[in-house]
Amino acid sequence: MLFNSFEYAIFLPIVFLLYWFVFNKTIKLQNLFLLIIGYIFYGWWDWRFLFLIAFSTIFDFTIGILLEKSTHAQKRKWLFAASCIVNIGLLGFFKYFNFFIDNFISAFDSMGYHIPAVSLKIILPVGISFYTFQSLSYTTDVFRRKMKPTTDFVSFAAFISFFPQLVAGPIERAFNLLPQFHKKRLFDLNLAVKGMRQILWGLFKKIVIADTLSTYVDAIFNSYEVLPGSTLLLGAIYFSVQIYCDFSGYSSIAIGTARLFGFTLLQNFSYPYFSTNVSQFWRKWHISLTSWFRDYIYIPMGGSRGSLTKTIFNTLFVFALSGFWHGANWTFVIWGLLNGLYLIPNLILKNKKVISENNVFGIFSMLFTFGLITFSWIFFRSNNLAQAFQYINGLFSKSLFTYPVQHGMAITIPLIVILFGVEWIRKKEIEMFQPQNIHFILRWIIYLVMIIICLAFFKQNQSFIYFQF
Amino acid sequence: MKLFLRNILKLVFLTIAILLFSLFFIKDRVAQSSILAALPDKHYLLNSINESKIIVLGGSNVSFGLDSKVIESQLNIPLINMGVHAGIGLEYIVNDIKPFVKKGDLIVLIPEYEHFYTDDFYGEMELVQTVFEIELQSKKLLNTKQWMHLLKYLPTYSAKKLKNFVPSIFNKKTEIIDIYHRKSFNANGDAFLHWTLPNQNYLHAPKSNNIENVNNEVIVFLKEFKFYTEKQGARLLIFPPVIDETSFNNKIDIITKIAKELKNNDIAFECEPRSFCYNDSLFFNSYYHLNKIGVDKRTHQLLKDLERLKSE
Repeated sequence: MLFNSFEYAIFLPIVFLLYWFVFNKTIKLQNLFLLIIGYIFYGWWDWRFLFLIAFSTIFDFTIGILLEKSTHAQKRKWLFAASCIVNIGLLGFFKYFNFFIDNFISAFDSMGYHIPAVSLKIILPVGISFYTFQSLSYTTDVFRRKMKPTTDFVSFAAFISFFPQLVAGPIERAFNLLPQFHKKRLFDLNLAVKGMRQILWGLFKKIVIADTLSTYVDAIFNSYEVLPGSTLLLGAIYFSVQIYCDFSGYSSIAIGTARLFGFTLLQNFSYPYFSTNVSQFWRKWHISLTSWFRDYIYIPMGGSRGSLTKTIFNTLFVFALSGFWHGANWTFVIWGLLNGLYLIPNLILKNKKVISENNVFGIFSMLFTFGLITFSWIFFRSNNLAQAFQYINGLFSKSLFTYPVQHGMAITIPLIVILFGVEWIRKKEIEMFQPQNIHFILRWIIYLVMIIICLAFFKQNQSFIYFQF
Repeated sequence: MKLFLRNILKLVFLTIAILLFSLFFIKDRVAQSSILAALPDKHYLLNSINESKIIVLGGSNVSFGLDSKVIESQLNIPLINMGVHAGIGLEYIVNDIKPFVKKGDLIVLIPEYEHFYTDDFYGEMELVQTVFEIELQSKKLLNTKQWMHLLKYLPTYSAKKLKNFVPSIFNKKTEIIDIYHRKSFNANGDAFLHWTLPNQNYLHAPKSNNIENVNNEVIVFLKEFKFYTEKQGARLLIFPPVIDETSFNNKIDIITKIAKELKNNDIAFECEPRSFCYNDSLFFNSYYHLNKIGVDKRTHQLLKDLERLKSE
């Protein structure tokens, strides 16, 4: 069930009313209801996926309890290793099996040994990368004794399958979200109103900006061979904005929906395109994933505590892994590595100075950072490396200095200007769209206009980019 | 909680009121000159023929894919190309021409493949546009199930009307006749403005997955239509649509299922679907829209088939 669908528009109010008026008596009832709803929501895609999430939940719940009971260090390590192997094993099988087999066969082919092709028809379960990481963060934190395991299975299962963030995050840490399942939620008007505003803003970003741009991005990336460099540049910029509005739009809807049910989720984006260097960008983009990799991979590997060479290796490794997490394709690995490479000058110079974006140098740095990030998105968006390199080749040609072939600029440029204009004004605020200080009539007009615009731009079956991961 | 619910209800009520106002009281200037507005013109053409005729039915694979004059002059029977847009739905396309079917008529039905396994059968946004702007009296042709399917398009359609209406107050543009304009059709109902234009880039049909299945309702509906035409003394022939090679290969699983299902129900395609799978270079701006070379090839192939079937 997509957030931007007719089904969800019916599903959400029904679930909201049942939650607050029927299943609000006890914590157990509230959690049980959320668990059932989470499974209905997830099973809407394919009921077979439910077995996987149920298995993962039961397994990690049991590991958590066993970790707590065990005092023997070696045994605890084995239990934790079992959790890692099972979680990463499931992810590896469903997401990467065919990738590894194909690459294995290609490698042998290039050495002159022909191995018959073997590939399984594996359907990638929606959101597996997200809930696997969420579940893994729980066992890791219990293993590190950062938190006590829960003995309440329903709470734990509801935490893993919490529908607003189940399929594309934010990847919640157990120590942030799980305790919220242990307290009875009481309706908070302020939180709910903020949630509704965030949902509206998320829908606006997704439906009006991302989906409009996607038409042109698809057209440009599908015929990049014949288009001038200037249009390819436009296509890359469009994709930068599309993926931002698509994913941050999703995150806003997820965070807003969670608020309607009395939960507070982690912030996932913080005006990333106003960053003045790449390192700052990664602190503001997909924050829940970046911090996950930092806390569970980068720091345990030694982080920046060792030699410069070790720090550079750790950085590149984590970024390549982050790329691979996105999908079983070399394009994602290169995208990750490229972003890691961007950080090397900063690591060598040990530059931690934050450049203000409010002066000419700051604006230049911001545009330069945006350019670097946009360049890396070309790999992310391309179907394969050959396409990415051909696209870049076409982009840096003489035709870069020609007028771009019309690709909806009359509509896209105003939308991009409005988006960044409004974000620039609000960049000091944590929340982008909270017009509580405006006179209520004007505020209601803004709501109505936004709803009508969303409906007018609405297209059926427009999935979110991050659902494929 | 009460305050929250009251405010949400107010917002919902206000939104619905604006959308209803737009739906019933605002004129859709875009629809009035769109390809869909050619439908009444085509009805006029059908009404003007008193003898036996050929009626070609389908979506834009038909409107953008035939030179009807050639078939008409070779077979010496008037031919009207009723194709407009697949989005008005196969159910509507067929029900719409039923009153025009007379004894001795030949009905050539060429549905798009999507009509067989997606909601395209019931109609999409284009059908909403048709029944609310183009042919208001045709609302009665829709059944409850169709209305249920169309329900999800109504808010978007009303909002789109508003979106088009607001700028039109300030900007009185002169009419531009493009390939999707009401006036882009010739006297036989073929879209012809694109015949002189170069090919454009377009997306091929996505790969079909194993979960797609033929909607049995479509099969039942077509059987009933066959029965209807026979009762009227007319003859129904069902042909596969013309489609580009890449899209054909992407859709091969579902196309095979469709052909098999039709055959099993005695309403088989008159020829193999592969025979209307053409090279990608013959397509103009969609995997169903032929360029002029493609139009000529398809026209002659269909003519041959019709000549063969006529003599049977």
